[in-house]
Amino acid sequence: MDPALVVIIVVVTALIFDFTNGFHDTANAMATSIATGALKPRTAVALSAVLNLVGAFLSVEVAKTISGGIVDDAQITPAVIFGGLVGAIMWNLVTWYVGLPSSSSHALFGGLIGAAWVASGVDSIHFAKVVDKVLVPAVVAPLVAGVVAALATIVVYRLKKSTDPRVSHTGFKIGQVASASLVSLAHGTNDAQKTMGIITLALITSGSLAPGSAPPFWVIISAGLAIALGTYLGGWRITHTLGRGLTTIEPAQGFAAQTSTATAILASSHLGFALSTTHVASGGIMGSGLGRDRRGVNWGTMGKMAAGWLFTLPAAGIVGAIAGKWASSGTTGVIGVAVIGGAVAIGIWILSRREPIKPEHIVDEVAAQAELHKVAA
Amino acid sequence: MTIKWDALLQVFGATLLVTLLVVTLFVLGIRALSSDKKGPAVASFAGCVAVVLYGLSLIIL
Repeated sequence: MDPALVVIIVVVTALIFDFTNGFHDTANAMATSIATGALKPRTAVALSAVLNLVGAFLSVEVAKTISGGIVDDAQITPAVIFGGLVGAIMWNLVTWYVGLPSSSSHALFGGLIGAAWVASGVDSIHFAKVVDKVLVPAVVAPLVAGVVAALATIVVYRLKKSTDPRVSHTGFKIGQVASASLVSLAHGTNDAQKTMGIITLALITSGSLAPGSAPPFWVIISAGLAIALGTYLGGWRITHTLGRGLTTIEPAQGFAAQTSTATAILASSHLGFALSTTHVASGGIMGSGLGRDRRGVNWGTMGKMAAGWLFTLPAAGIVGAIAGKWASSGTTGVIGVAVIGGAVAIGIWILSRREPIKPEHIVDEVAAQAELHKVAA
Repeated sequence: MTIKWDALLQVFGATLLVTLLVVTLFVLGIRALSSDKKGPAVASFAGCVAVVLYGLSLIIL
Protein backbone atom coordinates (compact mmCIF):
# COMPACT_ATOMS: atom_id res chain seq x y z
CA MET A 1 0.00 0.00 0.00
CA ASP A 2 1.17 3.51 -0.82
CA PRO A 3 2.79 4.93 2.34
CA ALA A 4 1.04 8.28 1.82
CA LEU A 5 -2.32 6.50 1.83
CA VAL A 6 -1.47 4.78 5.13
CA VAL A 7 -0.62 8.16 6.65
CA ILE A 8 -3.98 9.53 5.49
CA ILE A 9 -5.75 6.53 7.06
CA VAL A 10 -3.86 7.13 10.33
CA VAL A 11 -4.82 10.83 10.35
CA VAL A 12 -8.51 9.99 9.78
CA THR A 13 -8.45 7.25 12.44
CA ALA A 14 -6.72 9.59 14.89
CA LEU A 15 -9.43 12.19 14.35
CA ILE A 16 -12.10 9.51 14.92
CA PHE A 17 -10.33 8.64 18.17
CA ASP A 18 -10.30 12.33 19.09
CA PHE A 19 -14.03 12.50 18.42
CA THR A 20 -14.73 9.50 20.72
CA ASN A 21 -12.42 11.16 23.26
CA GLY A 22 -14.63 14.25 23.15
CA PHE A 23 -17.93 12.53 23.71
CA HIS A 24 -16.42 10.17 26.26
CA ASP A 25 -15.16 13.09 28.32
CA THR A 26 -18.03 15.60 28.08
CA ALA A 27 -19.02 14.29 31.47
CA ASN A 28 -15.76 15.24 33.19
CA ALA A 29 -16.34 18.93 32.88
CA MET A 30 -20.08 19.17 32.77
CA ALA A 31 -21.48 16.30 34.87
CA THR A 32 -21.58 18.23 38.12
CA SER A 33 -23.07 21.40 36.57
CA ILE A 34 -25.79 19.40 34.86
CA ALA A 35 -26.44 17.39 38.01
CA THR A 36 -26.97 20.48 40.17
CA GLY A 37 -29.06 22.18 37.48
CA ALA A 38 -26.62 25.08 37.09
CA LEU A 39 -26.58 24.55 33.33
CA LYS A 40 -29.05 22.99 30.92
CA PRO A 41 -27.53 19.91 29.27
CA ARG A 42 -27.46 21.37 25.73
CA THR A 43 -25.95 24.67 26.87
CA ALA A 44 -23.38 22.80 28.92
CA VAL A 45 -22.10 20.73 26.00
CA ALA A 46 -22.03 23.68 23.59
CA LEU A 47 -20.00 25.75 26.07
CA SER A 48 -17.68 22.83 26.74
CA ALA A 49 -17.14 22.21 23.00
CA VAL A 50 -16.07 25.81 22.33
CA LEU A 51 -13.70 25.85 25.32
CA ASN A 52 -12.13 22.54 24.29
CA LEU A 53 -11.36 24.07 20.92
CA VAL A 54 -9.78 27.12 22.57
CA GLY A 55 -7.83 24.90 24.95
CA ALA A 56 -6.34 22.98 22.03
CA PHE A 57 -4.48 26.12 21.01
CA LEU A 58 -3.07 27.00 24.45
CA SER A 59 -0.22 24.51 24.74
CA VAL A 60 1.64 21.80 22.82
CA GLU A 61 3.65 20.31 25.71
CA VAL A 62 1.59 17.12 25.95
CA ALA A 63 1.62 16.63 22.15
CA LYS A 64 5.42 16.79 22.31
CA THR A 65 5.49 14.16 25.06
CA ILE A 66 3.61 11.79 22.77
CA SER A 67 5.27 12.53 19.45
CA GLY A 68 8.75 12.70 20.90
CA GLY A 69 9.45 10.04 23.44
CA ILE A 70 7.01 7.30 24.40
CA VAL A 71 7.88 5.11 21.42
CA ASP A 72 10.96 5.14 19.19
CA ASP A 73 9.90 6.91 16.00
CA ALA A 74 12.74 5.28 14.05
CA GLN A 75 11.39 1.78 14.72
CA ILE A 76 7.66 2.02 14.16
CA THR A 77 5.58 2.62 11.04
CA PRO A 78 2.27 4.45 10.45
CA ALA A 79 0.56 1.03 10.18
CA VAL A 80 1.58 0.25 13.78
CA ILE A 81 0.10 3.57 14.94
CA PHE A 82 -3.08 2.71 13.04
CA GLY A 83 -3.34 -0.60 14.95
CA GLY A 84 -2.83 1.20 18.26
CA LEU A 85 -5.55 3.72 17.43
CA VAL A 86 -8.03 0.98 16.56
CA GLY A 87 -7.34 -0.64 19.95
CA ALA A 88 -7.96 2.68 21.70
CA ILE A 89 -11.18 3.42 19.82
CA MET A 90 -12.58 -0.06 20.56
CA TRP A 91 -11.95 0.32 24.29
CA ASN A 92 -13.45 3.82 24.31
CA LEU A 93 -16.63 2.61 22.62
CA VAL A 94 -17.07 -0.39 24.93
CA THR A 95 -16.59 1.70 28.09
CA TRP A 96 -18.89 4.39 26.70
CA TYR A 97 -21.57 1.76 26.07
CA VAL A 98 -21.47 0.53 29.67
CA GLY A 99 -21.20 4.11 31.00
CA LEU A 100 -17.77 3.71 32.56
CA PRO A 101 -15.76 6.95 32.85
CA SER A 102 -12.48 5.28 31.88
CA SER A 103 -9.52 7.20 30.56
CA SER A 104 -9.34 7.88 26.81
CA SER A 105 -5.70 8.74 27.33
CA HIS A 106 -4.83 5.38 28.84
CA ALA A 107 -6.73 3.66 26.04
CA LEU A 108 -4.56 5.57 23.58
CA PHE A 109 -1.29 4.77 25.37
CA GLY A 110 -2.31 1.14 25.87
CA GLY A 111 -3.17 0.72 22.20
CA LEU A 112 0.01 2.43 21.02
CA ILE A 113 2.30 0.54 23.40
CA GLY A 114 0.64 -2.82 22.61
CA ALA A 115 0.90 -2.29 18.86
CA ALA A 116 4.53 -1.11 19.00
CA TRP A 117 5.55 -3.93 21.34
CA VAL A 118 4.19 -6.74 19.16
CA ALA A 119 4.85 -5.28 15.71
CA SER A 120 8.22 -3.59 16.27
CA GLY A 121 9.65 -5.33 19.34
CA VAL A 122 9.98 -4.35 22.97
CA ASP A 123 12.97 -2.07 22.23
CA SER A 124 10.70 0.32 20.35
CA ILE A 125 9.10 1.44 23.62
CA HIS A 126 10.82 3.90 25.93
CA PHE A 127 9.62 2.49 29.23
CA ALA A 128 11.45 5.05 31.37
CA LYS A 129 9.55 7.84 29.63
CA VAL A 130 6.26 5.93 29.90
CA VAL A 131 6.73 5.61 33.68
CA ASP A 132 7.86 9.21 34.18
CA LYS A 133 5.36 11.00 31.95
CA VAL A 134 2.36 8.64 31.99
CA LEU A 135 2.19 6.00 34.73
CA VAL A 136 3.33 8.04 37.73
CA PRO A 137 1.15 11.06 36.85
CA ALA A 138 -1.73 8.61 36.32
CA VAL A 139 -1.58 7.65 40.00
CA VAL A 140 -0.50 10.98 41.46
CA ALA A 141 -2.81 13.40 39.63
CA PRO A 142 -6.19 12.03 40.80
CA LEU A 143 -4.82 11.89 44.37
CA VAL A 144 -3.66 15.50 44.14
CA ALA A 145 -7.02 16.61 42.77
CA GLY A 146 -8.85 14.55 45.42
CA VAL A 147 -6.86 15.83 48.40
CA VAL A 148 -7.05 19.45 47.24
CA ALA A 149 -10.77 19.15 46.46
CA ALA A 150 -11.43 17.76 49.95
CA LEU A 151 -9.59 20.68 51.59
CA ALA A 152 -11.27 23.21 49.30
CA THR A 153 -14.70 21.78 50.10
CA ILE A 154 -14.02 21.99 53.85
CA VAL A 155 -12.94 25.65 53.46
CA VAL A 156 -16.00 26.49 51.36
CA TYR A 157 -18.48 24.90 53.76
CA ARG A 158 -16.82 26.53 56.82
CA LEU A 159 -16.87 29.99 55.32
CA LYS A 160 -20.32 29.89 53.76
CA LYS A 161 -22.10 28.97 57.01
CA SER A 162 -23.21 32.45 57.96
CA THR A 163 -24.29 33.51 54.46
CA ASP A 164 -27.78 34.12 53.14
CA PRO A 165 -28.74 30.75 51.57
CA ARG A 166 -30.41 32.33 48.55
CA VAL A 167 -27.37 34.49 47.74
CA SER A 168 -24.93 31.63 48.23
CA HIS A 169 -26.98 29.15 46.23
CA THR A 170 -27.11 31.45 43.18
CA GLY A 171 -23.50 32.51 43.73
CA PHE A 172 -22.17 28.98 43.77
CA LYS A 173 -24.15 28.02 40.71
CA ILE A 174 -22.37 30.82 38.84
CA GLY A 175 -19.05 29.74 40.37
CA GLN A 176 -19.75 26.22 39.25
CA VAL A 177 -20.34 27.26 35.65
CA ALA A 178 -17.10 29.27 35.70
CA SER A 179 -15.09 26.40 37.14
CA ALA A 180 -16.69 23.86 34.74
CA SER A 181 -15.61 26.12 31.89
CA LEU A 182 -12.06 26.03 33.19
CA VAL A 183 -12.17 22.23 33.30
CA SER A 184 -13.23 22.18 29.63
CA LEU A 185 -10.44 24.54 28.73
CA ALA A 186 -7.97 22.38 30.66
CA HIS A 187 -9.33 19.31 28.89
CA GLY A 188 -8.47 20.89 25.54
CA THR A 189 -4.91 21.57 26.71
CA ASN A 190 -4.41 17.93 27.68
CA ASP A 191 -6.64 15.64 25.61
CA ALA A 192 -6.74 17.40 22.24
CA GLN A 193 -2.95 17.37 22.50
CA LYS A 194 -2.85 13.60 22.54
CA THR A 195 -4.36 13.29 19.07
CA MET A 196 -2.06 16.04 17.81
CA GLY A 197 0.86 14.08 19.21
CA ILE A 198 -0.26 10.87 17.49
CA ILE A 199 -0.75 12.55 14.09
CA THR A 200 2.61 14.28 14.44
CA LEU A 201 4.18 10.93 15.32
CA ALA A 202 2.66 9.35 12.20
CA LEU A 203 4.04 12.19 10.07
CA ILE A 204 7.48 11.75 11.65
CA THR A 205 7.53 7.95 11.13
CA SER A 206 6.55 8.38 7.48
CA GLY A 207 9.32 10.92 6.96
CA SER A 208 7.03 13.90 6.27
CA LEU A 209 8.27 15.73 9.38
CA ALA A 210 11.67 15.87 11.06
CA PRO A 211 11.97 13.99 14.39
CA GLY A 212 11.26 16.31 17.32
CA SER A 213 8.95 18.60 15.33
CA ALA A 214 6.04 20.39 16.99
CA PRO A 215 2.56 19.71 15.53
CA PRO A 216 1.84 21.70 12.32
CA PHE A 217 -1.05 24.18 12.39
CA TRP A 218 -3.50 22.06 10.36
CA VAL A 219 -2.99 19.24 12.88
CA ILE A 220 -3.76 21.54 15.81
CA ILE A 221 -6.93 22.91 14.27
CA SER A 222 -8.29 19.57 13.02
CA ALA A 223 -7.63 17.87 16.39
CA GLY A 224 -9.29 20.80 18.19
CA LEU A 225 -12.35 20.62 15.93
CA ALA A 226 -12.71 16.83 16.21
CA ILE A 227 -12.67 16.91 20.02
CA ALA A 228 -15.06 19.88 20.08
CA LEU A 229 -17.54 18.08 17.82
CA GLY A 230 -17.35 14.92 19.94
CA THR A 231 -17.90 16.99 23.08
CA TYR A 232 -20.90 18.73 21.57
CA LEU A 233 -22.59 15.47 20.64
CA GLY A 234 -22.11 14.52 24.25
CA GLY A 235 -21.64 11.35 26.26
CA TRP A 236 -24.82 11.25 28.26
CA ARG A 237 -24.19 7.69 29.35
CA ILE A 238 -21.12 8.69 31.33
CA THR A 239 -22.54 11.95 32.64
CA HIS A 240 -25.15 9.69 34.20
CA THR A 241 -22.52 7.76 36.24
CA LEU A 242 -20.32 10.69 37.15
CA GLY A 243 -22.99 13.25 37.98
CA ARG A 244 -25.07 11.04 40.25
CA GLY A 245 -23.35 7.76 40.93
CA LEU A 246 -20.36 8.78 43.02
CA THR A 247 -21.83 11.12 45.59
CA THR A 248 -24.65 13.65 45.69
CA ILE A 249 -23.41 17.03 44.61
CA GLU A 250 -24.33 20.55 45.71
CA PRO A 251 -23.29 23.64 43.74
CA ALA A 252 -20.73 24.73 46.35
CA GLN A 253 -19.18 21.30 46.30
CA GLY A 254 -19.14 21.07 42.50
CA PHE A 255 -17.39 24.44 42.47
CA ALA A 256 -14.68 23.23 44.85
CA ALA A 257 -14.23 19.93 42.96
CA GLN A 258 -13.94 21.57 39.58
CA THR A 259 -11.60 24.33 40.66
CA SER A 260 -9.13 21.74 41.93
CA THR A 261 -9.61 19.54 38.84
CA ALA A 262 -8.99 22.40 36.41
CA THR A 263 -5.92 23.60 38.30
CA ALA A 264 -4.41 20.12 38.54
CA ILE A 265 -4.88 19.48 34.81
CA LEU A 266 -3.58 22.88 33.73
CA ALA A 267 -0.50 22.60 35.93
CA SER A 268 0.21 19.11 34.57
CA SER A 269 -0.34 20.09 30.94
CA HIS A 270 2.12 22.88 31.38
CA LEU A 271 4.81 20.41 32.48
CA GLY A 272 3.98 17.96 29.67
CA PHE A 273 2.39 15.27 31.87
CA ALA A 274 -0.08 13.37 29.69
CA LEU A 275 -2.50 12.54 32.47
CA SER A 276 -6.01 11.23 32.35
CA THR A 277 -8.44 14.11 32.66
CA THR A 278 -11.11 11.54 33.52
CA HIS A 279 -9.21 10.24 36.53
CA VAL A 280 -8.47 13.73 37.77
CA ALA A 281 -12.12 14.79 37.48
CA SER A 282 -13.25 11.63 39.31
CA GLY A 283 -10.61 12.23 41.98
CA GLY A 284 -11.89 15.78 42.42
CA ILE A 285 -15.52 14.70 42.76
CA MET A 286 -14.60 11.96 45.26
CA GLY A 287 -12.43 14.32 47.30
CA SER A 288 -15.13 16.95 47.55
CA GLY A 289 -17.64 14.25 48.55
CA LEU A 290 -15.32 13.24 51.40
CA GLY A 291 -14.78 16.86 52.36
CA ARG A 292 -18.51 17.52 52.70
CA ASP A 293 -19.70 14.32 54.31
CA ARG A 294 -17.71 11.12 54.71
CA ARG A 295 -20.78 8.90 54.61
CA GLY A 296 -21.99 10.39 51.33
CA VAL A 297 -19.54 8.64 49.03
CA ASN A 298 -20.62 5.60 47.03
CA TRP A 299 -17.57 3.34 47.41
CA GLY A 300 -19.19 0.59 45.31
CA THR A 301 -19.35 2.78 42.20
CA MET A 302 -15.87 4.09 42.96
CA GLY A 303 -14.52 0.54 43.19
CA LYS A 304 -16.06 -0.41 39.86
CA MET A 305 -14.55 2.68 38.24
CA ALA A 306 -11.10 2.00 39.67
CA ALA A 307 -11.23 -1.60 38.38
CA GLY A 308 -12.12 -0.25 34.93
CA TRP A 309 -9.13 2.09 35.14
CA LEU A 310 -6.72 -0.77 35.87
CA PHE A 311 -8.06 -2.72 32.89
CA THR A 312 -7.83 0.14 30.41
CA LEU A 313 -4.11 0.04 29.58
CA PRO A 314 -3.84 -3.76 29.13
CA ALA A 315 -7.22 -4.20 27.40
CA ALA A 316 -6.56 -1.50 24.82
CA GLY A 317 -3.00 -2.83 24.62
CA ILE A 318 -4.11 -6.33 23.62
CA VAL A 319 -6.51 -5.08 20.93
CA GLY A 320 -3.84 -2.63 19.75
CA ALA A 321 -1.24 -5.42 19.61
CA ILE A 322 -3.42 -7.67 17.45
CA ALA A 323 -4.51 -4.82 15.19
CA GLY A 324 -0.97 -3.41 14.91
CA LYS A 325 0.57 -6.78 14.03
CA TRP A 326 -2.04 -7.42 11.36
CA ALA A 327 -2.01 -3.89 9.92
CA SER A 328 1.78 -3.86 9.60
CA SER A 329 1.68 -7.09 7.53
CA GLY A 330 0.56 -5.21 4.42
CA THR A 331 -2.41 -3.84 2.52
CA THR A 332 -4.81 -6.70 3.36
CA GLY A 333 -3.97 -6.25 7.03
CA VAL A 334 -4.77 -2.53 7.04
CA ILE A 335 -8.06 -3.11 5.20
CA GLY A 336 -8.95 -6.07 7.44
CA VAL A 337 -8.38 -4.06 10.64
CA ALA A 338 -10.38 -1.14 9.25
CA VAL A 339 -13.32 -3.36 8.26
CA ILE A 340 -13.48 -5.28 11.55
CA GLY A 341 -13.00 -2.10 13.61
CA GLY A 342 -15.77 -0.38 11.67
CA ALA A 343 -18.10 -3.35 12.10
CA VAL A 344 -17.56 -3.47 15.87
CA ALA A 345 -18.13 0.29 16.13
CA ILE A 346 -21.40 0.07 14.20
CA GLY A 347 -22.48 -2.92 16.31
CA ILE A 348 -21.95 -1.00 19.57
CA TRP A 349 -23.77 2.01 18.17
CA ILE A 350 -26.79 -0.14 17.23
CA LEU A 351 -26.77 -1.73 20.71
CA SER A 352 -26.68 1.72 22.30
CA ARG A 353 -29.76 2.80 20.29
CA ARG A 354 -31.81 0.06 21.91
CA GLU A 355 -31.71 1.78 25.29
CA PRO A 356 -30.52 5.33 24.67
CA ILE A 357 -29.64 7.67 27.54
CA LYS A 358 -30.61 11.21 26.59
CA PRO A 359 -30.07 14.55 28.30
CA GLU A 360 -33.74 14.57 29.29
CA HIS A 361 -33.15 11.52 31.52
CA ILE A 362 -30.51 13.33 33.50
CA VAL A 363 -32.73 16.37 33.94
CA ASP A 364 -35.56 14.12 35.18
CA GLU A 365 -33.24 12.52 37.71
CA VAL A 366 -32.11 15.88 39.03
CA ALA A 367 -35.73 16.93 39.45
CA ALA A 368 -36.56 13.69 41.27
CA GLN A 369 -33.60 14.20 43.60
CA ALA A 370 -34.72 17.77 44.37
CA GLU A 371 -38.19 16.45 45.27
CA LEU A 372 -36.63 13.98 47.73
CA HIS A 373 -34.72 16.78 49.42
CA LYS A 374 -37.92 18.81 49.79
CA VAL A 375 -39.69 15.88 51.42
CA ALA A 376 -36.74 15.32 53.77
CA ALA A 377 -36.63 18.98 54.73
CA MET B 1 14.86 5.43 35.37
CA THR B 2 14.31 8.92 36.69
CA ILE B 3 11.00 10.07 38.00
CA LYS B 4 10.82 13.82 38.25
CA TRP B 5 9.44 14.06 41.76
CA ASP B 6 10.15 17.79 41.91
CA ALA B 7 7.87 18.36 38.91
CA LEU B 8 5.09 16.31 40.52
CA LEU B 9 5.60 18.21 43.75
CA GLN B 10 5.24 21.46 41.78
CA VAL B 11 1.93 20.24 40.38
CA PHE B 12 0.71 19.43 43.88
CA GLY B 13 1.92 22.71 45.39
CA ALA B 14 0.50 24.83 42.58
CA THR B 15 -2.83 23.03 42.61
CA LEU B 16 -3.14 23.35 46.39
CA LEU B 17 -2.24 27.03 46.60
CA VAL B 18 -4.19 28.22 43.56
CA THR B 19 -7.32 26.22 44.35
CA LEU B 20 -7.46 27.30 47.99
CA LEU B 21 -6.82 30.91 47.00
CA VAL B 22 -9.55 30.99 44.35
CA VAL B 23 -12.07 29.13 46.48
CA THR B 24 -11.44 31.29 49.56
CA LEU B 25 -11.69 34.55 47.61
CA PHE B 26 -14.91 33.36 46.00
CA VAL B 27 -16.57 32.41 49.30
CA LEU B 28 -15.46 35.69 50.88
CA GLY B 29 -17.10 37.43 47.91
CA ILE B 30 -20.34 35.57 48.53
CA ARG B 31 -20.19 36.39 52.25
CA ALA B 32 -19.72 40.06 51.49
CA LEU B 33 -22.54 39.93 48.99
CA SER B 34 -24.99 38.34 51.41
CA SER B 35 -24.33 41.05 54.00
CA ASP B 36 -24.72 43.75 51.32
CA LYS B 37 -21.09 44.90 51.25
CA LYS B 38 -20.73 45.66 47.55
CA GLY B 39 -17.13 46.93 47.62
CA PRO B 40 -15.47 43.95 49.33
CA ALA B 41 -17.58 41.58 47.19
CA VAL B 42 -16.38 43.12 43.94
CA ALA B 43 -12.78 43.11 45.23
CA SER B 44 -12.98 39.39 46.08
CA PHE B 45 -14.46 38.34 42.75
CA ALA B 46 -11.95 40.51 40.88
CA GLY B 47 -9.19 38.76 42.86
CA CYS B 48 -10.55 35.40 41.67
CA VAL B 49 -10.55 36.49 38.04
CA ALA B 50 -7.03 37.90 38.39
CA VAL B 51 -5.65 34.61 39.78
CA VAL B 52 -7.26 32.62 36.95
CA LEU B 53 -6.00 35.00 34.26
CA TYR B 54 -2.50 34.97 35.75
CA GLY B 55 -2.51 31.16 35.72
CA LEU B 56 -3.60 31.03 32.09
CA SER B 57 -1.02 33.64 31.10
CA LEU B 58 1.71 31.40 32.57
CA ILE B 59 0.63 28.63 30.20
CA ILE B 60 0.12 30.70 27.07
CA LEU B 61 3.18 32.96 27.28
